[in-house]
Amino acid sequence: MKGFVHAVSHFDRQMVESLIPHPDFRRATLNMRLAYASASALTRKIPSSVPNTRVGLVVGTSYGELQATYDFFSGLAVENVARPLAFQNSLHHSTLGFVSRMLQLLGPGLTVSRDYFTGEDAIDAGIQLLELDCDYVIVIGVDAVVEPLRELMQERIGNKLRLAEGGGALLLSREATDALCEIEILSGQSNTAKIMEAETHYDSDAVEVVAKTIGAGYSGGVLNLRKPDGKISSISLSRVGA
Amino acid sequence: MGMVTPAGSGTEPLWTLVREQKSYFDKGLGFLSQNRVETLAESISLQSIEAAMKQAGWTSLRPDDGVILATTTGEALTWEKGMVSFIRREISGDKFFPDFQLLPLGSLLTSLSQKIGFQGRTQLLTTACAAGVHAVATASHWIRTGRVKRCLVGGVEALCSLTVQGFKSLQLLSEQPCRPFDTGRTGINLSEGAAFLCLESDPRHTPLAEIRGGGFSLDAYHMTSPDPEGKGSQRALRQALAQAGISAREVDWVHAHGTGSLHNDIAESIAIATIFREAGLNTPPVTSTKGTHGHFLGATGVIETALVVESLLRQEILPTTNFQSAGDKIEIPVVRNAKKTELRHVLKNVLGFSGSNGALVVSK
Repeated sequence: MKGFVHAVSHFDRQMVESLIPHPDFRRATLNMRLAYASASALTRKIPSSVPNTRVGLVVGTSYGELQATYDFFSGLAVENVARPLAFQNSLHHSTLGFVSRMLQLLGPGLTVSRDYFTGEDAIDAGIQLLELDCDYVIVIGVDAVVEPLRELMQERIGNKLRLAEGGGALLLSREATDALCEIEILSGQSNTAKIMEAETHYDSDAVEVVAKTIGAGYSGGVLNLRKPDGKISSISLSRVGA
Repeated sequence: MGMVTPAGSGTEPLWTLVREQKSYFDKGLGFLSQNRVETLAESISLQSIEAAMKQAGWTSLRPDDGVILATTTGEALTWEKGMVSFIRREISGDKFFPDFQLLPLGSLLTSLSQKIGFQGRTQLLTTACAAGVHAVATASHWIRTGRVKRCLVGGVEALCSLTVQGFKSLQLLSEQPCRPFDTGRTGINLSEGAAFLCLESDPRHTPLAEIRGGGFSLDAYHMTSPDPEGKGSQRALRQALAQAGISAREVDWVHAHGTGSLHNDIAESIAIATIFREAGLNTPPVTSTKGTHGHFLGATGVIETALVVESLLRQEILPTTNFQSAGDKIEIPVVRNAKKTELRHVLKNVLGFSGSNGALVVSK
C-alpha cells in the first residue's frame, strides 16, 4: 500500500487563466482548467513507452464543480431554464472526464470526495490504481472558490483558516528510482499507533518534522511521506480521530 | 444485502418485479412511496445498512472494517431548495448555511459514519453512473490487499431537481417506460434508492456470492456520450475477467447497464459482443433490468449487483422488461423472459458520464 512520487505540480487561478487560448477550454470550468494544467505538467514525466491505457487518473475534490452547480441552479431560479452544459459540468466526475479527454488518458479513473480528507483519499485511491496494474497514476487535488458563496465557504471552515483555491497533482509509480519521495497510506488503529511511534522516534532522533497535522475527523488514516531510501522521514503527516 | 427502492425494502421485491416484467414509473420517474423527507439519502442508506448488517450477522462495525459509498448527488435533495432561495435572495446566507454545510458530497459519508459509529477507513466514490460498480470493485480490492478485514459498500441516490431537470435538459429523460436495447427506445427513466452489501473473506461464513474481479477504464472521448465502439467498456470487461481469472467462455450471463438511451445501448452492445467474438464465442444471454427500475445513477451498480446475487442464489436469469425487438446495431442476445439455468459466473457492466466504465465478475 505505497507508491513513489515522481513529480509534483500546482496551479492557481491566475496561472491557468493565462494559458487558456485553446478553443477546447471555452466550455471548461475553473476546476477543469486547474486540474488539466496540474496534470498536463506531469504527463511529460511519463516515459513515452508507457501506453495511455496503463496510466490511471484520480481527482480528489471536496466541493466538486460547485460553480457549475451554482450556475445550473441560477438558471432554474432566475429564468426557470435548465442549462445542459451547466448540468453536465456540475457532476463531480466531470473534472476527471475533461482531463482524461484532453490528455487522452485511457486507464482507470476515480473521483473521490471526503471533505477535508479528500486529498489523502485521492492519494490512497492512486495507490489502489497502482496495485491494479497501472504503471503511473496522476493524482489531482482541486477545489475553487465560488464568489457568491465565498462567505459561506469561509464560515464552513471557520475563522482560523483562510479559504484558498487551486489545483495540484502528484505523479505516482511503483518505481523507487528517481522518485522524489515514498508515500504510504496506513489506516486503522494499529497503524495509527505505529506512525505515532514513528513520529516519536523521529523527534527523539532530532530529525526535523516538517509538518504534522492532528485534526478532527473520523478516520484513523495516516499519510506518511519519506525519502525513497526509507531511512529518513522528510515529512510525516498524520491524522487521528478527535 | 440491504436495499430500499420504489419496489419496497429488500432485494426480493425488486427482483420479483423484474422477473414479472413490471415497473413503477410515473412519467419516467420512480419515486419512493414513503413520505419523501429531505434527508432521504441518509435515511434510506441507514435502512439499507441495518438490513445488510442484520443479514450478514454483523452486530457492529470494527475499526479494521471499511465503508465505501457511491453517489452522484449525495444530499442535494436537502440543500437544493435552499440554494434556489438563496440565489433568489429570498433567504440570507445565515439561513442557507445549515443546508450549505451538506453541499460537499463527503458530508453524507461523514454523517453516515457518525450515525453508525464507525471510525475506520472510508471512501466516497463519485464516478458518475459507474460509481456503484467501482465501489464494489474497490471494496473487494481493499479486502484482497488487506486494507480492511470486512467492507460495507453501498450506493445511494435521491431524485432531485438537479438530476431530473438536468437529464431533461440533455433530452435523455423519457416519460415513456424505458426500453433497453429495443428498436423503439426513447431514453432513460430515473429512480431513487439505496443498497448496501457486506463483503468479507472469512472462510467460516458461507457467502451469498463472490465478487471475483473488477475492471475500471476511461473512454477519453466525450463528457456525456460513450466511445461509439465501447472501447473503454471493452477494457473494463477484459480487466474484470482477467482479475477474476476466468475466460469469456465461462461467463453464463451478462447483466448490462442498458439504460435505454440511443448511444449507451449501441456502444455497450458492441463492447459486450466484441469481448466474446474475439474469443471465438457467441455472446451469452444479456439482460438490462432498467425497464423495470430505471437508472439509479451512482447507486445503480450496487443495486444491480444485488439483483445479480439474487439471481445467482435462485439460479435464474432475469428478463429485459419492455424489450421487443433489437434496435439498429444491437447484436447481442437480449433476454426476453426469465429462465432457470445453471449460473456460475455473471458479468456486470456499467458505463457512465465522463467516459467512466466499470465491470464486475460476480460468481456463485
